[in-house]
Amino acid sequence: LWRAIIPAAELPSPAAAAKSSAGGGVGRGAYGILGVAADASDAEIRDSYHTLVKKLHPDVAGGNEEQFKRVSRAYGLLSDVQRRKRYDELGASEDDADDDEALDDLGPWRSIKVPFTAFRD
Amino acid sequence: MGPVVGVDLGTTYSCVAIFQNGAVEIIANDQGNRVTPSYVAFTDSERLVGDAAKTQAALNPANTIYDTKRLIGRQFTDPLVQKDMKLWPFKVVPDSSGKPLIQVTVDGAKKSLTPQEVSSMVLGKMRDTAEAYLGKEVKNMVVTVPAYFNDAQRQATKDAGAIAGLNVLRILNEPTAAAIAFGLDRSHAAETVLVFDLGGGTFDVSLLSIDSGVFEVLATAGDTHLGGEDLDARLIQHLIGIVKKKYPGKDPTTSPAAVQKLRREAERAKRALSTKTEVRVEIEGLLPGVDLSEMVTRAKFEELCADLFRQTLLPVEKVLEDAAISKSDVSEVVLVGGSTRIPKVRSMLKRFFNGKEPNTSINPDEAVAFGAAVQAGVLSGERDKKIQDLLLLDVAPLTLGIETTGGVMAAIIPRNTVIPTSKTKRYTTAEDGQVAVTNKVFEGERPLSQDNRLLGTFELSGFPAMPRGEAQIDVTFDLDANGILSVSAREVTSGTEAKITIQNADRLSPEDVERMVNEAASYKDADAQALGRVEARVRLEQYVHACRKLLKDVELRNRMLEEDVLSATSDLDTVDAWLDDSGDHSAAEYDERLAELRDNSVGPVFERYDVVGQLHRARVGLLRVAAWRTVCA
Repeated sequence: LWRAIIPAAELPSPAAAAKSSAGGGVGRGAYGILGVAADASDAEIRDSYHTLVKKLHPDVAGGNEEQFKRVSRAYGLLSDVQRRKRYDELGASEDDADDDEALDDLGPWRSIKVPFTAFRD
Repeated sequence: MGPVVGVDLGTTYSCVAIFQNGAVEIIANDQGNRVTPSYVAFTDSERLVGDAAKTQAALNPANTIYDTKRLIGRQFTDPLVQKDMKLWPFKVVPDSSGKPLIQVTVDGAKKSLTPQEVSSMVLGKMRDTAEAYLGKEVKNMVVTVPAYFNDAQRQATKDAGAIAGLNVLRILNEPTAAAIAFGLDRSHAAETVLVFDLGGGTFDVSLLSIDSGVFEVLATAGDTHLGGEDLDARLIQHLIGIVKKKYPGKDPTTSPAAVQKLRREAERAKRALSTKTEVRVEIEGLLPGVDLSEMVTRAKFEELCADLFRQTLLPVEKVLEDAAISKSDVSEVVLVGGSTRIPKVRSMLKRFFNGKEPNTSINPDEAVAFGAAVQAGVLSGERDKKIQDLLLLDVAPLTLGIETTGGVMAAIIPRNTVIPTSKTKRYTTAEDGQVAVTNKVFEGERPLSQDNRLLGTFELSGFPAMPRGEAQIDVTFDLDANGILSVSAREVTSGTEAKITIQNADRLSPEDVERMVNEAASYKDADAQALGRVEARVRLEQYVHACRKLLKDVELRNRMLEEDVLSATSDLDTVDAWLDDSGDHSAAEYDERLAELRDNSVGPVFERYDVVGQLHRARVGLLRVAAWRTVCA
């Protein structure tokens, strides 16, 4: 009776963009959310995630659940070797809605999703 | 918010603990035990919970309920429920929507209870235990569940708390709680820890990284129906086979009391076999004319349970694979749950981890409640340097998804996703003018939804009619920190909130919960009355006892008139006779008798000899002894 809408998600790689523009600074997209460079090591990504969630987790006084979810989603993406690789290459994960927030920082790129909306049974 | 306690609500035993003054205390119950059997029994005059219920199980098998954790959140037709029922001496029947109900007989009348209600009685008992120790009202709890419990089982456990009038602040995963108990005082560098939790009825394996106060669950797996009770069941079946062979025509399974005796002895034998290589199981009068006396060796026990032991390694392999971590990267294998005392379990794990000795540094029976108490401390805002940097990052144990065309399961929240989490999926209509869509939410890992568990069916409506494909409906799946799912929806182009209705056969409606809360309150009144009665009787008995003691005092007897001694003795005899007439009296009646003795008969006599102070001291001494007995019994 109904179908999921899958964005085409043919976006340029945020990692590549970050490498060329930021030159080792804080990356864009999921990298930006975690406050790490696009070439950050796994340990750096994890440390940064831990520092962030210690402030954001809803169990912590002054935590922020929405921010926590966003950071966790970005970490889920970048802590998985396969998904990170695909994300770096395609600029999107295989998993559409993941990117709604993880790609927030892409700003202008986001709007192109709607015209390319496709249907899948 | 008052004190927040941590409760390990186990299949066979439960345990309560509190974090205060920088340390965790496991709270002993009124029998002085640090764990309480998860048993509830009904006699004609009262309801018993815990030790008292388990003690009388063989005498009252049909009205003694246990194992409700194996029923909670399941359907009556669940093959595991059907299988378990064969060994339960209490009766389980389906309700009109296919949920199991436990049927007992109280005062000659049949009474049906949901598993949630029975669990609420155990939780209430744990609350009472904590209140007696703390001297304060306890309204809030952290309750643990197996990490591999599904949405319905978690929701039902939360409902059990609500029925007991408790606010369940968090449903915490048992292996995660155990990991806190393990890691709280360790100042090691980052560690990867595998928690192997084989309890009375459930089995969990969780892989965690512990790094400067952050307990991050990397993966979890398990079996919500594997534990010590399944090992007992193998032993019971073995013993039944022996009885049938030795006494042709005799079948212990026809007698609930016999099965209950076998269960008790099988559990005892299993425990003994963890330290001894053989043990004799002896039951006199198992059935009329049937005595059982049989030697069971550890080797035989291991043979009977070999496949169950092997099954425990599958989740171990699965978590390592899910987290992409190799055996050699695991720094500690932590054992939790009474069944990890079994030598075979330990040797198998040791072999699996290439000779690495499993870590037995935490108490396998108390670690889960310990960790729950720590998390309770964190959630209650307890300011303590030990816990202020502590943070749990737990995960969803099962993939949540929806059914798409062809019955294919489309994952929405994959297993091992950090919780809380939410995910929005956009849907559209497939036909022109369509104003409602229906979908089914499933949980499980199989590619076809029919092989997974249906959580509920939801229907979306209330959005305007549009050509097909134009409606854009955002459906948001929210998984909270308890691992419980809620779904909401919104049509984007019209901006209307789509109405969402979830029909979930496994969830209690708010009305059901309310009705059960009221019933539970009535039990509480009955329990309080029973307690008041016992206390009043004890007060009276102590007074009589103190008076008799005083009458034996030589100095006093020498100066007492003989008629006073006789009248006092006769008054005391009258009361003793009244106390012995077996019937239960009300608290008011006991107190009336006490007032009569104190104010009108023996009291004034003692007053004349100026020994009331002495009498009082004797009574206080006796009461202290009585209180001490209650604690240590």
